[in-house]
Amino acid sequence: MNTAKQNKQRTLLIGIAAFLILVIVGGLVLKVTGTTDDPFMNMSDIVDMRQMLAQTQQSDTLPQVDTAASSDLASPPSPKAGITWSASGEVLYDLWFICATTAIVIVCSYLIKWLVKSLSRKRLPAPSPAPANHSRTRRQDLPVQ
Amino acid sequence: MQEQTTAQSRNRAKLNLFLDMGLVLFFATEMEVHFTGLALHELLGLLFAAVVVIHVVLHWDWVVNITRTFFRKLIHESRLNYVLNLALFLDVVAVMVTGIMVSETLGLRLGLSSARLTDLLTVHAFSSHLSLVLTALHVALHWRWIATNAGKYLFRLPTPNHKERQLPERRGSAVPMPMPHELETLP
Repeated sequence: MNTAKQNKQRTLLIGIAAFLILVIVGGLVLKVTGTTDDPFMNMSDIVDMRQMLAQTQQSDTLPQVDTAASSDLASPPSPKAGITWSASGEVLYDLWFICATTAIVIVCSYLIKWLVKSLSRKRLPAPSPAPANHSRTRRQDLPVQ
Repeated sequence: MQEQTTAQSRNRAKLNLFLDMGLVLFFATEMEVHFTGLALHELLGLLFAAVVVIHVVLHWDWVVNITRTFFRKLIHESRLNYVLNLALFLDVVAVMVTGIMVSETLGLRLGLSSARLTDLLTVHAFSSHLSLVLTALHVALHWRWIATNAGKYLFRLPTPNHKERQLPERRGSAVPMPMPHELETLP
């Protein structure tokens, strides 16, 4: 039963290690490819959305023009553009952000657990040494007849 | 009866795992208007709302239980989770409502002034960014559940404890219990 629990714990730790490595590698790859869209600071979506709305309003009044070709990351895509595969890095960044937060929480939880354990060990009094086998010593001390 | 309940809970966990994974992927895709384009973004937003409702319905028992005990017990583990989930739910509702109000391709034009539209867009963008952070925390706080169920249903890892628990049942079913009259003859 104990070994089964240990095996389970080992599998979990291996999984966590693999996940952490994946998150770090993923982060490096995203940085190298230049996909670092900070969700805290980046509010440029509002400007993009405004432009999109303006485009939609224009497309209702003006005749339809093929705008799919002109859509890229620099300029916001047209409402009729469909999926822009070149922007898939941003989706991956969002997924990475979720995974990175999870990784941080996992590491923090293990650190807190370790700290609590070590603190509780210090607080507890040291276990008293096992009582010496006095009977034997006494017998040894006895004079040989 | 017990086996049936266990099978039901297993199926439920499996359904929850795959639905939640889909929801996260859906959410990440929905977050990026550049990727989908406005028309698909708005359409997917409606679908996302439907999936969120299913997610809440599947966890309704938990919501009811924690709501009942929230103020009764001073310390309980699920409190942080509950507050975070509530914040996330309200945030997602705000994203959906503002998204529907500013939608241009769904045919729901409310005739709002440009100043009001800008305000709503600001709220929509801010709450959607906040929802990414809250979703990340929501996923992170459930990492143990995800790890356990992903190991069971996604990576098909062996569960030694489960097999050990099953062994006595098998033995019991193979060896029939002696009848009362047989007990007298036993040594």
